[in-house]
Amino acid sequence: MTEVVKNYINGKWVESKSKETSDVINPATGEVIAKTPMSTIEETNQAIEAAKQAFRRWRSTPTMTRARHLNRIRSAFEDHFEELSKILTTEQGKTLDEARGEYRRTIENIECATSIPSLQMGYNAEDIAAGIDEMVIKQPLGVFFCIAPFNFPGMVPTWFWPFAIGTGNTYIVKPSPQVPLSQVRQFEIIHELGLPKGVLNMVHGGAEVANALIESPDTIGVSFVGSTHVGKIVYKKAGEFGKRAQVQGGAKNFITVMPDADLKRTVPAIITSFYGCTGQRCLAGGVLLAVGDIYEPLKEKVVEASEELIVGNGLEEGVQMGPMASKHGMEHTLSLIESGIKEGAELLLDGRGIKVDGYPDGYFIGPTVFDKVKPDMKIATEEIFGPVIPIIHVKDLDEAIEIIDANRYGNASSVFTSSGKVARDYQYRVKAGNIGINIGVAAPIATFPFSGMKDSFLGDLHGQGQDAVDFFTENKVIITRWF
Amino acid sequence: MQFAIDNEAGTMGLYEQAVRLSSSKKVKAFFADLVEQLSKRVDTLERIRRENITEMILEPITDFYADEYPLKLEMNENDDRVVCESAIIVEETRMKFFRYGAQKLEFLIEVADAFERMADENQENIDSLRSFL
Repeated sequence: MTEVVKNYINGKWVESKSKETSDVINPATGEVIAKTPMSTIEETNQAIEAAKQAFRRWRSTPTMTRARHLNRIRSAFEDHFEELSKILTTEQGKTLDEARGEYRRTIENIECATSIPSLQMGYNAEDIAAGIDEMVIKQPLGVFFCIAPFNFPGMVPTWFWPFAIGTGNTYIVKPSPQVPLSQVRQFEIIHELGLPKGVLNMVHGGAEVANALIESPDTIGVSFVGSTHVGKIVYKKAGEFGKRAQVQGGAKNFITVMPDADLKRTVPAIITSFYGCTGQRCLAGGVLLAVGDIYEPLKEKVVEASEELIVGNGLEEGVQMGPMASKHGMEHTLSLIESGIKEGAELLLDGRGIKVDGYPDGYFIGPTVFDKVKPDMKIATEEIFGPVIPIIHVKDLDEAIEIIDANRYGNASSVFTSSGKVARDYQYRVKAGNIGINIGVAAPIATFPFSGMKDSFLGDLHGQGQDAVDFFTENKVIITRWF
Repeated sequence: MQFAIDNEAGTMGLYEQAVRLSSSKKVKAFFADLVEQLSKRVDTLERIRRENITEMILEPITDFYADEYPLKLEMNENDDRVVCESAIIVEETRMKFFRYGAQKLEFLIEVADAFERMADENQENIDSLRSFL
């Protein structure tokens, strides 16, 4: 019988009383490997109450002590690195190397948060008026929570909770019901390390849990990563209930290749950008803009490199691209490929119908390349979230930037060029939050904010880095005079 | 903190005797688990003592006497019931120490929290031991 994963509330593992569950499927094999309970409002409120009670003492815990807890978690994750990576690949599908990369970033987030004794320092000034001094202290606020996505089940929660609890808040993680096992194992590891009960909690479930967290008078703020459609619902609801919110939504990331780009180094970066994690990342390449004369040689090399990619079960050595994370995701990508064909784009490489030996039930799509794409086609405007490269031939940089800025999303964009002037122009003009110059995946490291603009991000402060510290604290101003 | 560490280490030796003395497999396994639990607790207490040492010398602690928490060092009864009853007394003594200690050391949050957790564990141990009687 497949196990139903448990919630982690107030330092204990608790079975949900809900009868409703959702299957957790290994996307390489199609097998059900666990079940996620759709927890109840009552169970969610128990987690909120536990976090609220724990806050009283946790916020008074010295910053160095809080940082040391994070240090121990960081070391324990390092000790369990391989095991955690394998669990991730099994439930999500990405290759083992991609899972390892994800866990490196996970650990980096925790490492960055151990600097909180410095990052949470305020500032002051003497004599702002005669005999009067003024200072700012950055105070924690209470219970925060995140609604996590399916594509980075190990890492995304650590964009938030290490900074939240490091600054003295308490926290609730709601993992994606599709991929709960990475978080379950992380929490099992954390459970052994002596973090005070109630500081970090986990509740599994769907919309009912998310709504209960947002609507509770005892929560302060929400961090969400997922589609823009759901993100907008969360952001609006957060506003109605007076919550702080940071909402990372969808993306359509344009990769622009200039005529003076170093093709030998550009093409591998493009392949990683479009096909890494089977295209299921908010920083994945979404459209390839080939400028001027680079178009023909670039197209040829991209197709050649795409054909060589080895697709299979991510746990196996040598596999370079795993399956789609879900049947729904696979069908969505396939329908967009169909629309590309219908709208008149030319299919240079067809990834549909790929067969992987030994895995007849896996959710596999092979690398797919479209040519003669027009900017208004669905495959050029909508997020595919799969291994597809639509190529648009543009005449110059201005045309490229015009197409990019017309798109509703603004998560990332990259330019490949040898010209500093082109690079500066690009970073100056393109309305995207994460810009890559000769970088295919412009992923900020933990000490920097994970940026985003337009429909890719709603809110003011991003995850990671100083932004995260600011999101989880309030600047309290103290003005003093002594008689 | 040193008293707590010595007490836990001493109890570890006592429960190693209990493993040898008990005849039932279940009771033996339980005491073996308690030995492992105690080893982890000693490590935790040592780490907390090490990390909080700068604060410990600043605050005097009053009305907290070692004599009130005597440490039992020997067990030589070959009867599972008697072994379990002795262990219950040991657990109750330690639980009392950690509960009261947590209140006394409230100003050292990490210490207080660890003491409370250990007292909770002692209560769980008592419940398990009673189930063997």
